[in-house]
Amino acid sequence: MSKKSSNVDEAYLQTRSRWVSPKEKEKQEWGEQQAKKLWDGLYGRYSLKLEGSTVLDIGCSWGYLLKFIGEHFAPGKLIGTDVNPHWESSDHGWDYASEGEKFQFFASDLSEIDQIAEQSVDLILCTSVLQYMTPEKVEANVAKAYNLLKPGGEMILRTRVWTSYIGADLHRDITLPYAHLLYSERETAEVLKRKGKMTKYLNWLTANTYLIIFTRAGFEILDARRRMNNNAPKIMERVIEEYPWISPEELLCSELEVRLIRPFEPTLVEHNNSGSDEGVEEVIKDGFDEERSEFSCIVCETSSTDFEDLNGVPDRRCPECGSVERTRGVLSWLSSNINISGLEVFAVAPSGSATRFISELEPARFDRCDIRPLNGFEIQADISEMPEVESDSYDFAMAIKVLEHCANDHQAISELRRILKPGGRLIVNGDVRGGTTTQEVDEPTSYYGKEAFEEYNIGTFRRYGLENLIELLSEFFEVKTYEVEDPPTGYKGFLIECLKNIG
Amino acid sequence: MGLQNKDKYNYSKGYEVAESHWRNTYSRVGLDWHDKVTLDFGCNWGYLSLYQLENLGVAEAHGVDLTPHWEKMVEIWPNWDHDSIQNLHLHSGDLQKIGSLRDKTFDIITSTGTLMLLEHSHLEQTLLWFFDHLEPGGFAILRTRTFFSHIGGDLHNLTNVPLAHIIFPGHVIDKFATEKIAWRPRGQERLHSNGYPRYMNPMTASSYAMLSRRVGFELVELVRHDSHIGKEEYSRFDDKLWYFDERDLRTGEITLFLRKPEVKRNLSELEV
Repeated sequence: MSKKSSNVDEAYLQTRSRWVSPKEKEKQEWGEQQAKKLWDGLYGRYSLKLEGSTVLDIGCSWGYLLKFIGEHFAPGKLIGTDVNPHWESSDHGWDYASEGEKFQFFASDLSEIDQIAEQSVDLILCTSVLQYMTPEKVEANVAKAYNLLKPGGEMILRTRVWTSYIGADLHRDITLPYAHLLYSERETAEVLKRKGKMTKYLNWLTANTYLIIFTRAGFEILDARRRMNNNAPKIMERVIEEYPWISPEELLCSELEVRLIRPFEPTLVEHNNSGSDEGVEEVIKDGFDEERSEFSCIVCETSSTDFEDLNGVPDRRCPECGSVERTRGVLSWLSSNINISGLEVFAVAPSGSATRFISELEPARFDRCDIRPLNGFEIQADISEMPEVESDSYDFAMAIKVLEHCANDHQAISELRRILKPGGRLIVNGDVRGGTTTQEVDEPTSYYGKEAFEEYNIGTFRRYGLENLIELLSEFFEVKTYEVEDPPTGYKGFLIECLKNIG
Repeated sequence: MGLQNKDKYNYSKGYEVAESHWRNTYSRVGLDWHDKVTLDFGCNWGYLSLYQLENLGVAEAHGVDLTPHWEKMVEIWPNWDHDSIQNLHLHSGDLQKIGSLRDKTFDIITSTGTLMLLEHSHLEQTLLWFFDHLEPGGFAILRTRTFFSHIGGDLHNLTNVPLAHIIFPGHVIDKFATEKIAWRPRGQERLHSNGYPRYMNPMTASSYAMLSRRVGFELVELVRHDSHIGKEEYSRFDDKLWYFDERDLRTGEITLFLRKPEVKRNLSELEV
């Protein structure tokens, strides 16, 4: 690639002589002028409601912008954060403490401040500080800003981007503009070292990358403006020649100004171009393609593509833990809705995979019960009459494909209620069908066999209709119904969560 | 491009993919691979490294991956004995911490579909490692998805809505994935949330170019691969996309052809 002469434009060289020194920026006069410039040129562009609002300035320096806002508007509270407590210096001549509690300052990175309550800020301002943060810190600060804002609150910011002619803050020590785009960081650091200067850290984020970070944090972008480089056109030409694959809009962007809003209802409402409210769920699930899906077993993380056929149903059984579709559907619901850790759990005839899953969640107690003497089970009892199990002793109980196999389901449900603590929960799942009534089964020995029926009085006694089962459980509990599913097999079933009331 | 999970440990499928990588990506720059020492970053079970040895005449082919997939191959293909393949060296772990590679230098470094999974600083450190471990004049040929890929975060497993990871914020995707689908993701792929999507760094074609230059590479070529999203889809979500640079927005994948300078450059221009 060719390199043109490094003849730096004369106009640019003259501009350099007018730059304000860091020391001057500590002074009141500079700060007040800068605040007015920022307000007129950026923040005042938008019709902001400031009266009574809580305003936060990230990277506030000695607080000149907050001072300006305090003097010209009637905000409720003004908060400034900066990693260096410039407000403590006397150079700026401003005694913020005399203003009472209206002003509050934190000498810290915003992402590390715990003292500001979430959703307590109406407006966040940020001027030319993000470029000094690592990309990780940018993301952390943007995420924190999102959390601090009230729904509907706004963040307005200006940030330099890496493609700025002074993208690496080299301009005071190296005459050549865009030096960081024409040379590597190590090369410029070597030159700075020879001059007795330190390399300042600036991140490499471009305009698009910043915009991605803002949207990823949850913000909606109301306005975004690229301020373009207009310095040193000769050197700019070299940069364009060096990066022919990058569009000028991105390559020549110097600064980004963005107005962001924390949405009011981020989890529910998204609108499309037709103007109708289209829930996220409808937009996303329309596109679900089972053929391209690839999931893992919730118990042991085996890929569903390794599942085995079972009883004529393809890809049904996990070869590692033995789980089948019902178990996976129920355990998926469980993992999202109940925190098992530390609970006292009672499970009726759980499968091996369910046992493994529950055990790994570290319950305080995990008692498995079956009417048959099964190896390793803690309790052998008929759940329709189990006086040996204490009342009010479990936080959580599971009866997965159980009640239809109990001769007296009403009594079984009553007993399960008895052993739960007040506030405890029971989950029920089985061969439950919507849109039909409960049907008694003529031949109850079909599932467990004749021997089990004769010895233990277990079999398949009924097939539940959903409404009938809900009605039955409602005699003892407050109930809520969910749909559970297992995508690899297409299984869909009902899970009923039953709450034993307190008192 | 790349192997789906069920094909992962299949010798002929791996060979097919390696050949496709060669044809579509690595042969483009017209390098002489004969007698070279190569490294494939994110090598899976090593199929590209093996292909280089068997077909391109490289002297030594190294592969590195966080997970030693080649050991899984042994369970499926008992005759697969990577240790006995001369000049094939497979390493598992974090590249920065592999002692056997600390002093090693390479002529060519390749990578396909891995860089987008690295967090910012890790990405920078990795590119710096590539630079430091290349011979002067050596090449790095890196193919990676950008954040604007139509399958960003692997959400194509959940939805046909393109760029869902941009149109909807992360916590909305997570909520949908865990409530409606209710599956755990595989492995440790989520770094930032408790649901889908898989972590992807927010890098674009332009920011990859910037970062490559920053660490010291000469950018020989940047090939943009289309995002495969139709114009009507962009229009549909225009209110979420209008502020992005269009050229980057329509670039779902890139191939970077980077060269380490042969000699140290003259910095006199910077001394002024």
